[in-house]
Amino acid sequence: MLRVAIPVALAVTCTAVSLSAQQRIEFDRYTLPNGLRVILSQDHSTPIVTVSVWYNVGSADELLGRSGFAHLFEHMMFQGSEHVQKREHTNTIQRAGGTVNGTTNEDRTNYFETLPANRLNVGLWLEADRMRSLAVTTENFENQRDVVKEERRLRLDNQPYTPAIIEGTTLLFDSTTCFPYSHSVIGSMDDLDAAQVEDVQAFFDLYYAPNNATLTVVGDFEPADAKRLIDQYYGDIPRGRDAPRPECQVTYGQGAGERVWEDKLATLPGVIIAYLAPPHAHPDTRALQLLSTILGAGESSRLNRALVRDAKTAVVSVVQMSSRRGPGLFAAIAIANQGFTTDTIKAQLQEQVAKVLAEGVTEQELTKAKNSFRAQDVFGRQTTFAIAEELQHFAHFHESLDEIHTDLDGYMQVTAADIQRVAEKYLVPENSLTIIIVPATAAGAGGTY
Amino acid sequence: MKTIKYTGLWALATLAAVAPLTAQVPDRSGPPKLGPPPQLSLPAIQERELANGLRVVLMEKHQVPVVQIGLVVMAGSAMDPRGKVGLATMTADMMDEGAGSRDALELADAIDYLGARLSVGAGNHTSVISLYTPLSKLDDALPIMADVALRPSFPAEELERKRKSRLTTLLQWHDEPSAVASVAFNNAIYGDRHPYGTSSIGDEAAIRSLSVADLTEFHGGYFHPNNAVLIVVGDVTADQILPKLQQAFGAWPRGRFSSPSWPDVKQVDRREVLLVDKPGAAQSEIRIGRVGVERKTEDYYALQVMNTILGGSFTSRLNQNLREDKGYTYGAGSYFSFRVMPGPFTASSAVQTDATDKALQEFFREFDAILEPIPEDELTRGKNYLAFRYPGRFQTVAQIAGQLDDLFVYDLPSDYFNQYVDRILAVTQQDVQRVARKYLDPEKVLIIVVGDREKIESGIRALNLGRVRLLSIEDVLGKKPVVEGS
Repeated sequence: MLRVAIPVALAVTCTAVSLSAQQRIEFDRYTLPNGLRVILSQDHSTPIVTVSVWYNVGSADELLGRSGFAHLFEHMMFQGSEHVQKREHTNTIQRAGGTVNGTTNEDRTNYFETLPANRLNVGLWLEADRMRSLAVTTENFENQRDVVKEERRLRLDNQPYTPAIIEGTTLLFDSTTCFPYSHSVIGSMDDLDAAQVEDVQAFFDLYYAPNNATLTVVGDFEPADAKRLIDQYYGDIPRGRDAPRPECQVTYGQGAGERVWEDKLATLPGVIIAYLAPPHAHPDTRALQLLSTILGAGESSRLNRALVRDAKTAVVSVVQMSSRRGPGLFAAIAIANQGFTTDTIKAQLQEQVAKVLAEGVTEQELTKAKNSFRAQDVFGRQTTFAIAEELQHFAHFHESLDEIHTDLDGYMQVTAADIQRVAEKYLVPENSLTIIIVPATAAGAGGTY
Repeated sequence: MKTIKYTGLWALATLAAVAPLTAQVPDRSGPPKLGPPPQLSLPAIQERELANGLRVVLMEKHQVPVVQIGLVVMAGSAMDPRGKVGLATMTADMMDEGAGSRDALELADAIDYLGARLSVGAGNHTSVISLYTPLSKLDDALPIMADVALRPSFPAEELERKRKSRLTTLLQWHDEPSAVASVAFNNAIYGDRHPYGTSSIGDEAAIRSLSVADLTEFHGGYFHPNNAVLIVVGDVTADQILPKLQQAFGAWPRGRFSSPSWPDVKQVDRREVLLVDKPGAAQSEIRIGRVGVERKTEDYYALQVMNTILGGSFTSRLNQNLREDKGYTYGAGSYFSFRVMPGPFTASSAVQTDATDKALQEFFREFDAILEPIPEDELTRGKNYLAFRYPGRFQTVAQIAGQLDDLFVYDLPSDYFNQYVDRILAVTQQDVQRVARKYLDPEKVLIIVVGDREKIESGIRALNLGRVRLLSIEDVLGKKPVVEGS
């Protein structure tokens, strides 16, 4: 069935074409009368197609007492719709030879399937059917509530350090002024228990309307075909009312905080210093992201060099930057080596950050970080799924989708002075929360469970 | 590059699609009709050889200006000497800790500066040094890769750091139920005398015993051009890359090495439960399994289809039953680990503590059911899932390189990729039933449960699955190592 038949000479000709043409993602975009945004991008290199639907809703939209609901709802989207029985959503994709999944984060919920190219119709039909009509039963809801609780146990409660990193850092946000980011995406067990099946329909009606969604199709298809199918499947889904947007007010530099976090699965103590960072679209974000690479990504990063290699006080030391539609965070993390205290590694993390404020970064370090971003940009454009998600990212978190063509240039223009400026602005003690992770079994190695 | 060949039928369908947009509304009450699956034609696999006999296997992939180069050496954990378990993985871990004229940080700095990625890893039978680089940085990155592969310096102080880090990992495993379950499972199935039965990072005594001389000897013993292959995938042609490879690897001298031999694998001959106590565990980790079969088996395709239906996909019976019907878990599945020698068949899940016994019961219900004929629609779904997703597994240079590695490591026919879809689609209901009965014997499996014994033991015993052996985490992992400060 598969044929191997590309002469080398032909392939060589293609190289010349690919080098000039392939760095740019070309796309068409339009909006249906009901408000559904559509992005189409052809890529004929493999006979497959990815359908990606992003709904503009995430855990940041949740109400007090309902943390975790956006994600629980995402699970319900696989439980059937008007013409699709429970199980038949995933079965239909499998029958067509595709893969399917969905994920939830603070700002959006995404659903996607990758299918053989000429089975685009199946993906669009399934996505449209559940946008039009979700089928909710109490039994399915109770079942998925249990599944999500097990997901929480698996990913958080049964993992060392993860709760401190995921839930500890949400303490940077005051729940009275910024509930959206002051709780985790997975939510608390109490809130999951408190969720009601009636909440599901209300959430669906408010957020799962075509005017709150973006459909992206990437791969080996003909645009006229795709447009016709999209019109047929989605055209008459009624527009919903405009969903309210979450409100988050933060004050940068509101004072240094410190919290102790007991971790019953951790063997070694650790420290997280989390700084409040600007929203993704803010002009300072690029410089902060480059700095996060210089400080905390890879073997040759400053933190790894200073704490893990030279002082040998930490087993691992990295920076994680979480950038979102609203305010984000920049977290310097270290797990202590045996025999070293959190006081030691905390002081070392502070010293490394202070050094950036005082001396900035070198041109060599900056070029290295830029090269890494440039390479990731290329590495990340190999699959239809990755291209679909990149298009969605720009559609949701940037002023204009066209920034997909210029965003990398923005990184390349960042100067060492920019980096020092953003460090002085955000990476200061009064803009931080320090989390001291203490193994609940006290002495680490000597402890029992 | 046009690599797609449509059949005549598909061309007609495309013409029909040009009809006016609103011409007719299709019946939306059921799934649309499936068109014929499109065909994939892959670029040819090209084979060359360097002056020293090092094989080069290349596939061109011109969509994105990146290149992946992997040096695959037939040397892995299965070659660890007795008492030196973990040597292969430690050697791999240490190869980028100093090589050629650079120390560890200089190497990392040089690679990071290029925006390239260089990694070294060891599996059961291979060590792989991989370079993943933008095409524009290839010339700078390739000599660094060659240094790491051919001229590692194994600095003693980095070995001490790695040793401590491994002991720390071992220490941390005592608090990670999934790690405890995996170590206990492999050891229970294969025992201490077989390489598949030992942990790839070794035990405390072995970790403490590894010396620079051991690493040098392992590297010197197996890393030869006549025991390796270079896999190249990306935006290059053979004529472009060959001179560069010749310069980087062509002077590497051939060497002699002894072919390793291993004890025969013994199949599990009983059903037994090993209950590992983890007081306060948030969930119970379950592993159930036995010895499977080697990669080269003729039953490979039928087994893939059977396992997809049993536990190899989201819609599989195990996941649908334990997750979607019962809500005991976030996921349940099963897996044949196909290796040079027979790897394990494993069914696994992390389940709600209260439902541990009920979950075990459902696992065995599904093992019994899979021995019976599979309904036609379910069989078709399983086959389609494997066959029609196949083109999607050739999108990135890393995916393609991984597939090419397998051709070499398992000595598969060169037309393997081209046959895969047909071979999967040819699997029949009888084939599935035959391999299920041949490889899955629910009466002869080992069952590992890591969980809160006080809450789960009586329920497990009441199932009467077989003898129940109680173990502590220290029985599985040894005593918690004490790692000295520096």
